[in-house]
Amino acid sequence: MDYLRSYKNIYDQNIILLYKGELTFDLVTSMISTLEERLEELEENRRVKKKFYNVATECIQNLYYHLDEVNAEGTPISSYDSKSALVLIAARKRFYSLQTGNYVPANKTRDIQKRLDEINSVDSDGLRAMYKEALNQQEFSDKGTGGLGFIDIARKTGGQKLRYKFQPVNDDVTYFTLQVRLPRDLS
Amino acid sequence: MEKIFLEPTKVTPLVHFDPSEGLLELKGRSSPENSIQFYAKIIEGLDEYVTNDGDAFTATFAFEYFNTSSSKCLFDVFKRLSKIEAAGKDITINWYYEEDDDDMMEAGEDYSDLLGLDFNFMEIEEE
Repeated sequence: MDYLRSYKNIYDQNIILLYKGELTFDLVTSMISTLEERLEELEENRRVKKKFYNVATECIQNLYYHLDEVNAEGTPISSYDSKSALVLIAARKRFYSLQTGNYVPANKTRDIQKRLDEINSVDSDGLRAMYKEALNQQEFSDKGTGGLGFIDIARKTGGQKLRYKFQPVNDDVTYFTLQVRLPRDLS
Repeated sequence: MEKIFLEPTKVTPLVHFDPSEGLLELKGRSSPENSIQFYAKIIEGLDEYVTNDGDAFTATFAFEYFNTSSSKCLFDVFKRLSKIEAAGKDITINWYYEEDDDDMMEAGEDYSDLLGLDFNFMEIEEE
């Protein structure tokens, strides 16, 4: 094992947070505080800092609320892994990259994909209208989430498309990866 | 009616609700684990205020950030404010946002537009 090489790989990609495992609410809060401290050093633009805090909180909390939905029984995935999140946040030259990964029930992928595609198909005015409509019409889920998360992330990142991938594990479980890009050169 | 005063935390705003004075103030960040639970008491208090003797109510919001789940709860708060107005009481809504924070300004505009409420928009200048 060449640990130095592993470390160097991480440093070279300017990763500011890398986490794999289960999430508790306190851990989510600590991760966000840590990111906020890092941004104080890395980022001079106050608006970008604020948007980053917004988007990171929404991404990681969103992930936290949806980790318990997969039943890993009869799959090659351990019960721990099935409820694990992957969070990878990197500071690139032109944008911050926020990537999350988690297992989702295969029967939910169509709805998630439809939602992401709808969001990606509209401009900023369209996103605002979509947000207002969801605020006005949608009821809370039993977790207190309101279906606004993805729309909010898209709004706050100024029309950047939400990049995603669904990779089937078996008939019941799919791995869902989301990448959000927050531009650093806000005019 | 019950007064509510809560100190702010990393994930919850300062709350100052004084029905006898007709005052509600929310300030800071809002991303609690369970927003519905956090806002329930405020919403209950506002429901009671609709039939209260008070004839003027001032609500002041100065958020630095709120998550989408809080956003839905705030929508419920504004629905109550709209009921208070419909009950014939004078209502004043102050919406503060930090300088250049267009996202927060737009959030206020969205609530104002959806519920037909007048907001006083106020920019807080940075040092």
